[in-house]
Amino acid sequence: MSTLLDVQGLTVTLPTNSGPMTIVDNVGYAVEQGQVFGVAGESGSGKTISVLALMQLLPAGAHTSGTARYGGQDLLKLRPRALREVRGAELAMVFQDPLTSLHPMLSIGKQLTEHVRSHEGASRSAASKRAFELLEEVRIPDPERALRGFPHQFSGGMRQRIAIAIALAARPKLLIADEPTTALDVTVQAGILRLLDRLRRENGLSVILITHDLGVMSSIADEVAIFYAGRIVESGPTRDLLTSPRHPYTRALLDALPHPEAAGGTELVAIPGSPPTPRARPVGCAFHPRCPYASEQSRAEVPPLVAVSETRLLACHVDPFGPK
Amino acid sequence: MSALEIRDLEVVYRDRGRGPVRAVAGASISVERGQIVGLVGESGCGKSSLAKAAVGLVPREAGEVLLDGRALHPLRRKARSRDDARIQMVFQNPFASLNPRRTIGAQIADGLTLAGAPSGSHREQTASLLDEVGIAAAAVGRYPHQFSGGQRQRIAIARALAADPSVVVLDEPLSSLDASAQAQAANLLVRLARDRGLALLLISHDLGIVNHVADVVSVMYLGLVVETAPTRALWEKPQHPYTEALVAAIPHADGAGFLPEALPGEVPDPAQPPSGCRFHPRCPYVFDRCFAEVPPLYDLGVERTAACFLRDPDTPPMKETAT
Repeated sequence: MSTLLDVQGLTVTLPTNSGPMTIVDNVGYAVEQGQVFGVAGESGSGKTISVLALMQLLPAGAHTSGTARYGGQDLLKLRPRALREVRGAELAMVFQDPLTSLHPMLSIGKQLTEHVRSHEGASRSAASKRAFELLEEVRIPDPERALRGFPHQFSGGMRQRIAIAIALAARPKLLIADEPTTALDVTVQAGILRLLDRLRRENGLSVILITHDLGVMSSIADEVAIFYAGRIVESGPTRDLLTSPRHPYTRALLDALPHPEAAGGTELVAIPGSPPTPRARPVGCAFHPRCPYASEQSRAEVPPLVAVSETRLLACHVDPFGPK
Repeated sequence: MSALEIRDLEVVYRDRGRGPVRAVAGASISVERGQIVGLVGESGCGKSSLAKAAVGLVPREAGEVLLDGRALHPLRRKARSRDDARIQMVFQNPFASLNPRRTIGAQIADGLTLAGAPSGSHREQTASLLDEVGIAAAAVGRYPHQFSGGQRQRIAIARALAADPSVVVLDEPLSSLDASAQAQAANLLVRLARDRGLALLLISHDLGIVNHVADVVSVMYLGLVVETAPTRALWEKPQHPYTEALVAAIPHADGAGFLPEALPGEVPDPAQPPSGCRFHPRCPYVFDRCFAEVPPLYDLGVERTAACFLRDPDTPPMKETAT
């Protein structure tokens, strides 16, 4: 496997009325070819902003530092012309709500062929053929008819498949999927997860999957990074991370989930307090006010993200779940 | 006597230019005091319509809703009687259900007024309600935007409690929340049922969380309740193929890499439901009888019912199911 994307020291600040606010703080990770890389965390933890930064899709006034190496270039420093060639053709994105990302007044065929033609300069007929193939690829029944349809005529699951088809139109190597199944029923979610899994296996597509759902993560992600208050607190292979979490936050997140074995009237283990806002991020380890294991050092210094094994990284001064 | 009893409820929507849509096509559910009944199903199955009809927010076409054994009057322009106000509702989105321009204390006090509490006691009662849902009583003068989503949902629950209900219908109260906030709210629901003896009807598309908090689960498909069972039994041994599919579609956060099973097809248009068993076009066990006849709810003992011909005690099906 070769590294497709290497992000280092990514920091994003957004302007606010009370001055710049750091949303993403010194984040680093690598995505391998053909890998599903999971980004997990609660809402407001900076997951989405950290990937929007890669596509230079941040609101005006945002300031980004760090590097994002992709094929010999730094995505964060691309000029508009180079950026246009990368967006869509190399990196593509799908969002949580396909109803807002699809154009409501253009037919599916128009939205698909437009994309194919602008990137590949294909003729009208070649683009139509490709649009048909793309809908087949994402398993839309009766693609011929679907091409003439409009977004509102499809169900949520079908719309998300169409959004994925559009994202795949210019044959990107990396797909960024931001909560792609959150708005869907579990039965439909399972179909989208299977689709992403197949694209990864058969086409060697790399995926950055953002989700707050560790169940979704467990299904298809190879590696997971856990975000808390704009920083990665722990990362590693999905199986290891979910079966033996090292960071108290990861452990607390897993404990808060419903367990299939428990049934009827059992209490869940909630994390005390709420996640901090970027404006009021605690000093030291941002999780310390909610952490039963916090030490003096946790309250004073930000723990660095360091390797604790060949494959795993951890940012915790205490490491209460490490090998004794 | 059940705290809430819904019998053969039907809800029909009529739109110009479109045939009538039977969103709820004859569903029965009962909730006892101190019990949490979960109602699950995919979007479009009619669970929200059932919830709204139960409290009277949409008119019923047929059927009955009994609150503490008395028929619930439909909602009219006039305020509800004290007795009818003993059913309360909590909505999915606490950003929309709380008034952004009034303090949370004032909004909770509305419920107290409804319950006929003397205004002199409002301050004290509001504080105790906030405390009950895990919000600092000192926050009484704050506005909804000053709280997180999870806190807002618990405030909405406190407001429902202020009206001193015997039944609370909750429509997807947990689905907009992060895992930890969801756990806090779910625990609160369990405590309310146990400590206050409230009857809770919990509507959710998330079978995982329902499995955790509900005592009994009903599964709805295209306007009909297709299976009801005690939670654990339902999860471990689903008796309706649709329930089986719902359980198989839930991802497990155990790191084992289990890829959930997709249920082929989609929920059909409720304006044109399939003949016979409404689930037959998506059912892996379908056989000839399913196309023609509507399966009744078979009584399977131990508080279980399922509407599937595979469970017909008189004519066993040709092939056994995997369950």
